[in-house]
Amino acid sequence: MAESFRTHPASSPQPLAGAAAPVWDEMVDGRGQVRPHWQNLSVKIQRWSADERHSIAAAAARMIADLGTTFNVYSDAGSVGQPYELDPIPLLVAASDWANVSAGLAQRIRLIDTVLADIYGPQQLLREGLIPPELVHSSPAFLEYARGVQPVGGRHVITTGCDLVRGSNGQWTVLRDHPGAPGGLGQVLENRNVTSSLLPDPFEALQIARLGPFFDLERSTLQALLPVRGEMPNVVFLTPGFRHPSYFEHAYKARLLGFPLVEPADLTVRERRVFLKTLGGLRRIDGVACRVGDDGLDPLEHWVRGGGGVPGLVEAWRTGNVALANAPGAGFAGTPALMPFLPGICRKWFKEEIKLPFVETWWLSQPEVRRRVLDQLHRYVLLSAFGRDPLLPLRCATLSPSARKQWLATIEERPYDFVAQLDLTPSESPSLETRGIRQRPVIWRAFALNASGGPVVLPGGLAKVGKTGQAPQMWPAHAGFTKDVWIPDAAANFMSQTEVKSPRPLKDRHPSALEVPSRIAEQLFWVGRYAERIELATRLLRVTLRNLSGESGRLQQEQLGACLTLIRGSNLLPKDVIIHPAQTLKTLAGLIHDPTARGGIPSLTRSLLLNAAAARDRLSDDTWRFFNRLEGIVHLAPGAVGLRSASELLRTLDTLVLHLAAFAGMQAENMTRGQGWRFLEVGRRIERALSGLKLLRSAAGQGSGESPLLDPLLETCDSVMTYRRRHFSRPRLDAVIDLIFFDATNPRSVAYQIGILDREITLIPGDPDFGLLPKIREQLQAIDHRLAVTAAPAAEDFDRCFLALEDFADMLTQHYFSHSVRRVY
Amino acid sequence: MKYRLVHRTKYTYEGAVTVSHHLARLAPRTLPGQSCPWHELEIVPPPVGRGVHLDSFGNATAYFEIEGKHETLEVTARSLVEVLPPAYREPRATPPWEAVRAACQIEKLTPGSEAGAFRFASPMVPLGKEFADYARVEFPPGRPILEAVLGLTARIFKDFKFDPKATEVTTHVSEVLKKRAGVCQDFAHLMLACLRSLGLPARYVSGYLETIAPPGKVRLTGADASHAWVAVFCGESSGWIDTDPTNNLLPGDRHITVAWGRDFSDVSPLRGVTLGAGGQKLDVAVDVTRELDG
Repeated sequence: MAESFRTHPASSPQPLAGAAAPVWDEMVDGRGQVRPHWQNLSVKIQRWSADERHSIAAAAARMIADLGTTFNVYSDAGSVGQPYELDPIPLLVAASDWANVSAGLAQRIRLIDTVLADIYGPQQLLREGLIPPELVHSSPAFLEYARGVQPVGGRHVITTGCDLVRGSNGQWTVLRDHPGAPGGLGQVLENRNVTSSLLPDPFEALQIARLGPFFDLERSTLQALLPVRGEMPNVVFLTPGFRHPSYFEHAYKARLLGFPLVEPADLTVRERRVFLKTLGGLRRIDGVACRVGDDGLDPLEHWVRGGGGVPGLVEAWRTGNVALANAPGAGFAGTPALMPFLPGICRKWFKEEIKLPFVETWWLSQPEVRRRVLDQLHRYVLLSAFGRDPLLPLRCATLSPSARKQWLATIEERPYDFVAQLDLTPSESPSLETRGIRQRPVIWRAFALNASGGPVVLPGGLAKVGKTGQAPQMWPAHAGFTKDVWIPDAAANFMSQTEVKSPRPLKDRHPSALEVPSRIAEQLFWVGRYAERIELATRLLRVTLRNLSGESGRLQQEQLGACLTLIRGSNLLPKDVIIHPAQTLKTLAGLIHDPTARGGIPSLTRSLLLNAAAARDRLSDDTWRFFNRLEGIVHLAPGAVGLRSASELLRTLDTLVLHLAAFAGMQAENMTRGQGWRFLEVGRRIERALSGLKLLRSAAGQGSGESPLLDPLLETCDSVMTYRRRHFSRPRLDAVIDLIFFDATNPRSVAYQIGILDREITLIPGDPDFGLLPKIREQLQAIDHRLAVTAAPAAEDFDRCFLALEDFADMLTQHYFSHSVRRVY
Repeated sequence: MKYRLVHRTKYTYEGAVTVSHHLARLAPRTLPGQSCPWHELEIVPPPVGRGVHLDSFGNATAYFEIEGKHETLEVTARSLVEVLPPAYREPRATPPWEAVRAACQIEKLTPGSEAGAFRFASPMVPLGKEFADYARVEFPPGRPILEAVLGLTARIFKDFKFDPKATEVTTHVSEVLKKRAGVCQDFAHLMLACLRSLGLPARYVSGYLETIAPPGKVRLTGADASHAWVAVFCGESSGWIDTDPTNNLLPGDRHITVAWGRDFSDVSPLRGVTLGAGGQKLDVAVDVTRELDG
């Protein structure tokens, strides 16, 4: 214990001063002079007029939204989540500071990797007293199952993040390490795209270091972890799924690296090897860039109620058949409790001093340390060593005497659970705010890569902007403004330090080279179905509203009733619901705007978004932009729904119809005809045929001849023009059936959809027995026959056809998509 | 004493399972007082991928996968085990419990402090004042550790009712403390929580009890399936000593050790994840019979 106390940096590099010390200004030095590396940019931002500030902030916000850069694509409130916020003024880091940080972080990633290799191996550090055994044994992040495993590729940490803070002494200092699943690298690149395009001149003039090479190296490093099997290594990017707060970033990062984005359910382990389930069968996987927590990796090893994870994945890793980056258990090194011991380890094992200073940090398990810290507790922020205390972090200076007493008792009870870290004020940098440019505290998350040729540090990073007066340990992880980090004067040229040769030539490889995972195909299938359902609802509601808003003559009343029959027949409203005439408008408004209305457009939109979100990396940015707008169109404050007038509602529906047409157009013109597209198309065609059948069934139920249902039916099917061109009379049932059911030239007819299904199904891989399509065709013939003899097929005929088509959809689902539920015991 | 052991586990699935993955810890450990000259694991249907490794506690862990539709899974572990009764240890001769606690807290890993790994909360064993308070009566200052442990063992045996209906596999230990009822797994977890909340290293032991009582001997509780008890570290010279709170005794040659870990989650005999919908039925049968010819 005394040993580790001595090795604390309080005696070597200068500790950061406490909260009372003057705050370091990133842009202006102590004499009021703009620091040299800020000169270009400071002139520029200080010249901005209020209008310019406004338009730049607006442009940044729009670009973030437009990129679809929502961290939380889906939120439980049912709306598109908050886009994260970007402050367009970057944090400039002088080349000299960068050189120090770069060297320090390169040493640090090696050090952390060495520590992990030892504690999961011989545990010599524990025997030498360089890490107290208690620190390892009391940590829930120390994975028993990872002990003794030699990770494929020889390294535990491939990428790490490190939060740096600059105190009043002007040194960048470590606040926290993130070796588990370092988040933020995807965001770094998004921020770079936006910031460099908003400030193109300074970006060029300052010769800002480029980020691309780092990501290229990350890609080749991940590909090279598993010894070659004679072909291209297959690496996937594993995300917990679209509900994860960083899901968007995962999708973005996966696309950037060119690795398929997969969820645990997409992977399977066979004979201790990892495979991706694709439409074309199982594809062997060599490496997994892992963003799933250790507790969600493998339900066999980490027993969690309800399962999740990939059973057998750890066994595959243990036996050297797959590389996981970072290795399971790497998150152990992220505890702040380890920080005070790193300098001693560095000195003893590397025979060098640790290069990056760190914020004064104490693990309270050691009695002598604890006594000293508790004597002046107000200087510190109390942290949870292993994340077990949800009430932490806490600024001790703000504790009431009674709360303080309570915490002291808890600390005495299980001191190993607590870490005290100096309460400090980070440096401040200019931020663009509504009312002008303000100085705001910043921290910098830097990133390092443990490449096979040696560590490489990203010349940039993610700056987080905090609130003045709030300790950086307390800043929320997934909220607040971020900035790009610029290293000007890239004489510290990145490429010069990356003399790392790729161990073997790697050809560029597009993500689609790995076939479509079955789950993605299923999500796209449902995207197609929901898009079509929304279109049916939109068109049906539009024709209904038109009838409602016209003169209230008898004809209109009759037509309105007919429309409501169609609405019920299409399951937009429960069949038994009786709508009071005075409530009709309100009911319709609910179907258009109320997210709680079952079967209404908002709930359908939400289902569409859920499926689209889960297939995020297969959809283009344009498509995604369309989805984001779609939700914006129907979103309305709950109180406003009942106040919408018929004409306002009609305008909304008109806009929706155009947007849906745009999506259909994008799908038709811009998507490559891969299997992903095919399933989207098949889903759309099935749903459109089902919609037509539902409408026809309602009409057939009303008997033959002229029916008030036929006009709105034709309008819903967008076939009014065609009908009028062919027939000059009022719509008759047989003629309508001919057009909406049989006419293979009408892209809205059932027969047309069946034709397309017929064609596309044969192009789906595998050799399924699709004996159902003939069955559907049989139904078509039966209806045709009935029509010929009676001039009016019965509603049951359409029902039979409907059921045959549904069977077909089920069959497709069973054959291609794994719907099975898992049991865990 | 020599035993012939058969542990049969049968899962019957409601719907067919297409793929399943399993981890089994069913092989008895080899220890100073226990040897296992023969062990086999029979799996029906036969697995495609299979391997055995020692986990970080030294338990032989079998991994296997089954591919192709199956409606049942039957895993049968057969072993021959020889168990010697442990040497008698005079409780009064063991060190004071505080000394054991202090020895495990030193800041270097040494043979005398390695046991310290087992004095923290684990997935199924929380720490807390309630547990320390329950145990405290038996741990007055300076009491020899084994004496105190025997006291706690007896106390749990006396205060708690053996009731298989009272709890489930996942019942929380504090609920067990409130209900004053449970099965061997609950008593073991409770005892671990008590000892660790006092700062003492203790581990969970899974194994078997002799099923059929020999003439003149009492039939022990918990003998129908696998059994669980506790081992407490009693200082470097005494080492780990087993104690069985379900039966209020120190295990002799009628307890067979299979695996140990921090709690049940480290040693569950058979764990599996199956792909397929529907429920499942579980049948477990354990037979432990004396080999008379030995």
